[in-house]
Amino acid sequence: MEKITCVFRRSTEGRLALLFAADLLKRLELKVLTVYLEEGRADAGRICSDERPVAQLLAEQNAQVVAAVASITGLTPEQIVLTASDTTGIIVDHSMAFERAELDVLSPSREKALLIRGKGPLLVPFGDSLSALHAANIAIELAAKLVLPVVFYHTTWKDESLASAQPEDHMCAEAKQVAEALKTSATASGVQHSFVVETADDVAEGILQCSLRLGVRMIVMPRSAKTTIGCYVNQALAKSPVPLLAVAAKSGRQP
Amino acid sequence: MKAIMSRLQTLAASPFAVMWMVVGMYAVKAILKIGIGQHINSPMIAGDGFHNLADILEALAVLLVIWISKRPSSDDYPFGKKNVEFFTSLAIGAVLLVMSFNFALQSLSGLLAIFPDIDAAVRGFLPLPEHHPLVMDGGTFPYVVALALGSVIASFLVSRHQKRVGKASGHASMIADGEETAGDGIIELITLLGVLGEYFFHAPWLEYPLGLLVAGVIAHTGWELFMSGFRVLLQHSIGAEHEAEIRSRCLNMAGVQDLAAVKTFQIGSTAVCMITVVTEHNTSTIAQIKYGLEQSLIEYLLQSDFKECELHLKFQKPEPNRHRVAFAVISKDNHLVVAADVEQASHIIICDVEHDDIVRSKQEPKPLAAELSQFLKRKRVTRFYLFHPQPQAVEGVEVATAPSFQAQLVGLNPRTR
Repeated sequence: MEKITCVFRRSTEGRLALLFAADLLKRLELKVLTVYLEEGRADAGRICSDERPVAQLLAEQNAQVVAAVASITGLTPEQIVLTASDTTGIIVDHSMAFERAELDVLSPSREKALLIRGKGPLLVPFGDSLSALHAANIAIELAAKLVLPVVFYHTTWKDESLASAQPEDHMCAEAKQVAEALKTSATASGVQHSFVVETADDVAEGILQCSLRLGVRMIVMPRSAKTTIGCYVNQALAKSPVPLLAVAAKSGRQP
Repeated sequence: MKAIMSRLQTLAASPFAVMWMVVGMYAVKAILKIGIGQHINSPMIAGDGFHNLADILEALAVLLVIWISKRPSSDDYPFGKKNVEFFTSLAIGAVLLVMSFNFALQSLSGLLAIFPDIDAAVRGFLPLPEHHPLVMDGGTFPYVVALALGSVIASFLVSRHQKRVGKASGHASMIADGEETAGDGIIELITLLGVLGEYFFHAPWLEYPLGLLVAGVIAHTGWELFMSGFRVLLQHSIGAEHEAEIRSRCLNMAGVQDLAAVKTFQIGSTAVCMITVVTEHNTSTIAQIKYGLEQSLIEYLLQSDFKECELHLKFQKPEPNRHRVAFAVISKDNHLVVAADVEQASHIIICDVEHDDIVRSKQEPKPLAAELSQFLKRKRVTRFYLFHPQPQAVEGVEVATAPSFQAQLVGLNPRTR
């Protein structure tokens, strides 16, 4: 995670997202916070005058926004960079998490900072697809920098042909392979990790309930390129009190 | 054999079986103590035997209380009748206090008997009980020692088992009775020391200073039991330490902004917590927060000697801090831009603000310049925004610089979710 971007919004959620992003920036020892701000050149054209041409209005807007961000976050103006187009890195924002499935968006879920309630693990849900590996790598990198453990979570349907009460026994072969790959990756990075396997009734609720039971501080959830209806990420985002990083699918796009 | 062992284990863990065992122990003690006490002319031992008869009645009362407390809850008693147990704590605590007082007086009278002059002087103004020295010979000594020692061992073993089963089954009355049995055991131990002191060192006075010390210990236990019953019956909180931990666990839960109220009390061995949580989240997220809080609090309370817990969680929004602000805007073709000055504006947007968010806005035609101040005051606007580094003043209203001229950036566009 080398770049953190936050969207400027004059609202409570916008202010909380800025606080969360600034805290994450400090914890990850990054130098600058990128603030996404639509330029609004057309709007500037509607209120410009001879005394205040468009370029001056845009410059004044940028200065106002930088001052507002600095006042909210405590960062210096030099630590704040505005962008109107660059959406690389992780974007911290409440609304974009729902609206922009093609980006990696971290919804702070109205929390002011990642570890404001003390240390806790990061949770990576996984299914039977390799999409979890990319999300897991982001989580493992974060966990290594923040010295936090990672919990890999899987919930499966019961295989009625099996008598076993152990949820692990009901995992399909593909999910077991993904679990093995996750284990290898976490072990190689030296991050403390564990697995929780359940047969929860509802996948999104299972993820959230496990997070709340374990005091998870962030859920890192991969989007699936194949899902067309019933995206688990959006379901979890809609009701999660825990910050959730929705990782874009590596190929393909979601609605 | 296995079945018999299993049956015995079940019996040993049954509160009713344990209390019947206690009744049996006191019956044997009472018969032996009264018999031997009268035989060797020892009012102390015989008196202790009569005290054990009272203990039998107490144990029977505890049996009745346990039976009542196990009755299911009903419409009239929604929490069941578990609190009846704490009447026993109150009563046994009071009995222990009286017992310790009597024992202290007896010990004091024994001590004073060593100094007849002082004894006579004290009895002149303090009505102390009559002192009965132990009457014993070589023939009765082994029986007396065996009785005293057996009583001490039986009391301590039974007390320990009573308290363990009481804690495991959540019966406060049984724990209280176990404390009382332990108190009996200590008194019996002091009696034994007196018997041994007299026989081996001809120093029966040894038991009296020890007796005073023990009276203090029993009084302390009695007071604790009495207060534990008193606190529960008057619905005292479950304790500052527990409440601090409950607060800490709640505030550590994602989504909890603050706690408006934490009220706790105890019914039987059930902890009842009524918590009002402050959160800005919506209903579907609150359901998750509620789940997390329940899991965390139940885990803590069941680890803290409570057998059950009842959680009543209420959620409320923080104070909305309602106020109104206004923006001067250019509104054209359904598109808004924050104006640089009042002259440029076509409309004024009046916004209701709650929790720092614009929750409702209404677009009004711009009034005449001379009427703007009155218009804003009439709409109860506290702050008026323009996009200008030095915005022109409006009389009676604070004028501020909007951070952007783009309507969506200052919160004027409706939220998408």
